[in-house]
Amino acid sequence: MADADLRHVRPYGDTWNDGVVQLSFSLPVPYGEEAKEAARQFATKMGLQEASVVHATDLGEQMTFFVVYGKAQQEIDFTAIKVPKVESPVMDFYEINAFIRERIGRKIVVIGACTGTDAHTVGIDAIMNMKGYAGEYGLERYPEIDAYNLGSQVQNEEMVRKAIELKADAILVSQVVTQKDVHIPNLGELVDLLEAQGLRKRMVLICGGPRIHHELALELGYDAGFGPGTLAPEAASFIVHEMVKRHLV
Amino acid sequence: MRLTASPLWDRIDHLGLRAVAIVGVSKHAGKTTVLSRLIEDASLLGRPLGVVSVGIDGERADSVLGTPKPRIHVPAGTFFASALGAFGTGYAPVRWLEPLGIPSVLGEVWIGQAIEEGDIVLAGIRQLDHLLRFKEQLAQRAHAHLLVDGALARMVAIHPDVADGVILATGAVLGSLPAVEQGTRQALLRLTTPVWQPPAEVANRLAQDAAQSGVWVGQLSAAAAEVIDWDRVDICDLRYLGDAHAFAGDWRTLGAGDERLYIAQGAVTDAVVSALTKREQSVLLVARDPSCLFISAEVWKGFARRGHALRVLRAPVLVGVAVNPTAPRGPGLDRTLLRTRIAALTDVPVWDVMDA
Repeated sequence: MADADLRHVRPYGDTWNDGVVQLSFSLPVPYGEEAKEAARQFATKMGLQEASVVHATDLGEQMTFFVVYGKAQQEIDFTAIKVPKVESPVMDFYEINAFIRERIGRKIVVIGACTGTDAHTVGIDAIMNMKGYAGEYGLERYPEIDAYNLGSQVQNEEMVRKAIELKADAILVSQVVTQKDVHIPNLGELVDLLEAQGLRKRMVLICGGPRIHHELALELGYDAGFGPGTLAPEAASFIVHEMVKRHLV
Repeated sequence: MRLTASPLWDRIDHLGLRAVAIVGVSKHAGKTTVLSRLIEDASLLGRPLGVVSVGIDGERADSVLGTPKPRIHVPAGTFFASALGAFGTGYAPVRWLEPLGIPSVLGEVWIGQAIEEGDIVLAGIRQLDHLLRFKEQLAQRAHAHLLVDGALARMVAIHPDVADGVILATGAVLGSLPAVEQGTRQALLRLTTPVWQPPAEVANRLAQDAAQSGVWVGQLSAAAAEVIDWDRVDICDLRYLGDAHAFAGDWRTLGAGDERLYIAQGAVTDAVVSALTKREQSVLLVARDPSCLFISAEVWKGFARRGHALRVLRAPVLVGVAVNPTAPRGPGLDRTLLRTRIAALTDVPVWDVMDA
């Protein structure tokens, strides 16, 4: 296998650096040869060369689904990419509980929910619920954490009310539904409410979801933003390290 | 070329402001474009600056769309706050002066100063407490104007401890012209909420307890019971309810349940205003500042229609409105028409900073 030139990275399809990519999408047109040609022209207009429709399916109601291959001409300088990451180490279940006992000296309170209109709890459940996910316990299982999963469609005002009532040290907000960027004003409003109430500086705020990353989280006023696949130890490790760094013990 | 006048800075100077926040009706409303124009004009005027953002500015790509973002180009000598890890190659050389004690996923946040003219990134500052730390550090180091760029539609930058003036950015990102007018009208309502000057004895009581939560309730004196000039009322029996806030209980039963004055030290939400709207006798509801107001247009209108009044204790001055006719996902709006229609909503100057 050839050595990769990380300053000029292109997709690998059949041969090294051939730039071949696969797209799938739907067009609101009736299935047929014209539909395939429409998909090919669309991919060409996206900048792909040698676009070819390798699969098309009639979805009904004047909609057609396509899989298209094509050659991308662009390349990426991998060496210039910088992605913010949490610097503090990810500890395991036992290390986190020991860290809380030794460095914080009391149980910590974490509340989590899907807020706004979002009813997709798979992410927050994986982190909060006792059984956890992928071999990792959820926060409810941690003896040094009082974890409260508030569920789905929790309004921001209710989140703040529970944060006050439970004296929360950290809030986890999951946003899976992001159509029309609805998650952005919703996440931002929670931070503004906490600021208005004088609570923001006393808490660790984390958001998570498929379109969430650390830079967006910072812009929204959160301390960190975790993407899909995040497990309880990552979130818990960040929370406890952040609490110590910010003297929230 | 040295500028002799800048419409934006002329207005800021005329109002005697030292710290100006730029907030938007939404993401992509044009805040950073306004910030860049203010920096550019300040540079030409030879005016020292401190610059900070509560989001991220000057990064290469937008955090939502992934599209290129406007750069933050500053003259040599500009002070700013940023996370060390946000700077890569191709940025201005920076003298990092002191850590601000703010950890972030982009590294620790420091106060820095551009050694030479060039691009910078503003990142890592994300809450009121952080803004105040930078403002304090800046004041110790230079007699410079402070510019605070907001993030998305967040309003923390307009806290009166941070800014004494505010510029509102609005534009085609909200959609059609009527949609832009509606969104702008709502933002202006919040930013221009009248300031209430409490009677001296009330002001003294408030000054003694500068808590960020709790609610002060009061009665009107008998002589004032019929008076509905809320700026000239006599207050009696002022009491502090430390556990009261917008997220606990029903404000119809707050205190004795028949008070006429409510001074909220924290958030004021639709639930609070809706509860007080039902009161038979008119009430005066006072919020700490406009950043505490979370009231929808309908609820606000209903409250005022019943004869109740809403005021704030402190607010930054509205410097002007900046319109942005371009939209990241749409065709945009006619810039002249947009400016004319927004100008009809307000008495303050309306600028199109790309056209000025």
